[in-house]
Amino acid sequence: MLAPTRAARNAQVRELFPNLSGADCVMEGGRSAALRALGRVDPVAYARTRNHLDGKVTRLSPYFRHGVLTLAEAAEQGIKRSGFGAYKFVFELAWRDFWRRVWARDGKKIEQDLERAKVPLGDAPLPDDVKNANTELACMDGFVRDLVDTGYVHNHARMWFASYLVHHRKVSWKAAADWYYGELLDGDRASNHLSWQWVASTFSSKPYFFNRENLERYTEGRYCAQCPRARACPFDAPYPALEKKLFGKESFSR
Amino acid sequence: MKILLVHDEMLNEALPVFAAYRDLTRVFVLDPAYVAREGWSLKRVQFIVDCLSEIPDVRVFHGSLAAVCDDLGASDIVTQETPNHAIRDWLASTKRAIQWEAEPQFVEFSGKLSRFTAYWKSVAPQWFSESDLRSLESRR
Repeated sequence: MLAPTRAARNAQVRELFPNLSGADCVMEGGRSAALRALGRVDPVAYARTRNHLDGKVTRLSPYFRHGVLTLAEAAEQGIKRSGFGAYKFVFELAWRDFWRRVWARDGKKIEQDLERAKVPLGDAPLPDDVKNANTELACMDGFVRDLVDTGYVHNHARMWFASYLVHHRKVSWKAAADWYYGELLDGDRASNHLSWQWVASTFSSKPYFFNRENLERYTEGRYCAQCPRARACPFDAPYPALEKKLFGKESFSR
Repeated sequence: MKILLVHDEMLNEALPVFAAYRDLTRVFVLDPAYVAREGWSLKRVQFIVDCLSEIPDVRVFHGSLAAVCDDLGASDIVTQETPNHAIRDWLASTKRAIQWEAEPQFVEFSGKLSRFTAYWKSVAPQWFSESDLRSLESRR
């Protein structure tokens, strides 16, 4: 029998799973909360601002992952509200459907390289300084704290973080993806593991990498302003130079 | 006895499988071994339980799925289809007959999956008019 309030249910779960530690869930689950969140979606503002950390993102993904909302009903609502202005919103929903279809086709293979990597990759385990949010890179440590404390990370931050781990730290994408999967409220092997493969280049035609200018622009500089490594930032370079440093050649940024 | 096994991708009573099998006992199992294999955090399990609290008449058990099936005398399981191999392996471990019911679809698609761009080009007309899509293309 489940307790009648969220606080009491959270306590029930702590009692049933004494080996699980960490923060309590701050996001409200359930169909009512999901419908309220869907009602707040502004597809036009989403299209314009979604790449910014302060943008009008929807935070619907934990509901999609657990079937609390369907992709189709979200698309229908978005189009009803904004017509063709919902194009980007529906486009991004389609990514989830695409990943899921790849999963249905490939099954457990999505946990291995689906294609040959287009750049050299590493197989290092997840480093402790990353896991403990102690890299001294304010951005990456901030993204880890978001993940561990709330189970939610902005999509752009997920891409930056994955790129940092896979291409700068040469961590095995699979090791990183497995850890990430468990911490996310919306952890889904298709969306999560295939996105890591997309960044790594084992399910895309090129690796995903970024520079400081890009991160600073979409975070409104909030991390760089207080970063202990701001003067020795590993991302502070033009793309060709960064590519040469990471992959030993310049072929994707030309 | 047949049960409706509610798994972690179907936490919504509005899904068709709930209406189609309204007479079956609804069962959700918090299986510590499954949670450990998934590597879920505390907050993830709490979120799932929060979702469950809004599904009427679902019986939530803590323990192994196979043992819960034994206790209930469940010989057959009905549940929603999924490509999720963790769920499929977990259910298969019960050695029960499993009836998979279709999950809601986002689009109809039977083409060859390659890159997202090709997939999207093929399915976008199910959501938007060809003229809107052509006009977008011409602006690029």
